[in-house]
Amino acid sequence: MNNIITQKRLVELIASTAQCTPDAAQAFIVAFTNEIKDALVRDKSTKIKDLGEFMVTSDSRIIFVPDSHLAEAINAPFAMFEPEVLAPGITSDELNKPVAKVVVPEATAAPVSPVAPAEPTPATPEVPVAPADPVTQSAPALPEAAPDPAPAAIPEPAPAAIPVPAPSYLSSDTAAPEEDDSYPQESSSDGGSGFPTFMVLIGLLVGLILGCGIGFFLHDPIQEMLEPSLAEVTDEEQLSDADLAILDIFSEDSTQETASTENAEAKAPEAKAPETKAPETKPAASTTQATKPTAATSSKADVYDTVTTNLAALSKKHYGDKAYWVYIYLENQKLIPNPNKVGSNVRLKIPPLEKYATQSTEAQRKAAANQKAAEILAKYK
Amino acid sequence: MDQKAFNSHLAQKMGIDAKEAARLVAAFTSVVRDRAANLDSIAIPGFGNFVAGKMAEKIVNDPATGQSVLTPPQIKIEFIAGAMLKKQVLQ
Repeated sequence: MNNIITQKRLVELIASTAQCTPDAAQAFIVAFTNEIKDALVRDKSTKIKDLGEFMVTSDSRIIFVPDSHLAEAINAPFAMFEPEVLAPGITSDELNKPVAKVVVPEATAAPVSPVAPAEPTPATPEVPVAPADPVTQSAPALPEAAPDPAPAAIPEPAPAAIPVPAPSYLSSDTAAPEEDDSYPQESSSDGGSGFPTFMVLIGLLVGLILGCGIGFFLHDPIQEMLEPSLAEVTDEEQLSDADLAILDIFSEDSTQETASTENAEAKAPEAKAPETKAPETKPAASTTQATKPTAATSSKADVYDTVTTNLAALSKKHYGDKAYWVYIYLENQKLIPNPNKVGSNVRLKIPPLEKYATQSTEAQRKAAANQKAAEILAKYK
Repeated sequence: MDQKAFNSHLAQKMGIDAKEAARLVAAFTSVVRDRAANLDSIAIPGFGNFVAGKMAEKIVNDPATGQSVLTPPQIKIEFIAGAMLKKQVLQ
């Protein structure tokens, strides 16, 4: 800005603009200026398109009249300004006067008009009326055309203490309600109503997951608790008549009684008479005779025994716990089509407990036996 | 002299065609316009100076109507002929 472009710089600019060599640009400048000279000498004027016209006036002056397009292009930044008619009496001196600060008291709660500063206040007569004091905001300032001396009559109770207020478009007091009205607000209630609902849904989902997990892990124990073991099956509907008769006659100590009758059978034939009353027990009694000495399962040899009541009683007899009946069933699956209904005269092999109960602790063995029992009983529901 | 004649003479002097001459003249005009908008002056030795200056806003009084008109600022470009040009042209 405000630089002097030398010929060297002009050559560079022309070369870059015309896409030619600097030598060609240099030659052009020489030829161009010489042509203008010749034209002025010959015709006293010459016009260059988009540049202007060179003329020789009558008083021997060389003048240059720029082309209208050139003038418009140069003054493009000022194209927005238009000549304005001023109020009479306004001179150039008025334009150079410093702008008086307009102070508005801070206490006024009323919204400030964006038209701002020069509002007449006829209620303050003590302020002298200044003749036509326009407020120039920019270079082409446009004071009010109406002859209104009041613009200067603005009360200034304490200019030093009261700051200049911000423009109205920056004030939040008046603009905020309008902005709030124009745009839909997300009230806290909307967000609040959605938040509890969302939390309720989350809580339900978490509860559902927890319930499923608890049910999954506690399914077997609960099922075990709800399902009666074989030893507890005393429902007469599930037992056959023969089983009921045996139940009445024999108990958990029935093996001891049969042991005492074994010798009686071998010695006296009259032992057969009471056995006729319960003919089904005879084979059971006879069979226990051979197996009685080995019922203790203390030895490693195969142990056999006959079902008296049910598998649970047999397990209690040999293993000391009813829960291990399932191992007796597993050992004699071919002979036991249904563990709920085992005939009383069925001779079963009593396997060693260690064959199936491989767990280290008693609780684990019982739990494993109960789980296996549940699986087996599930098939016969 | 009109533009066509000027270009043809220029092209003849430079030994180029008229289109090329017109293109060079347009480039010169563009440079002058851009520099003048930036308030720069162009000095061509042996020819003259193209000087651009800003005129501030002013109040123009019309005596006929009595109105005062505030004219906006503007940039004006003027040509100051060099001594050699004056000598060659005016003599």
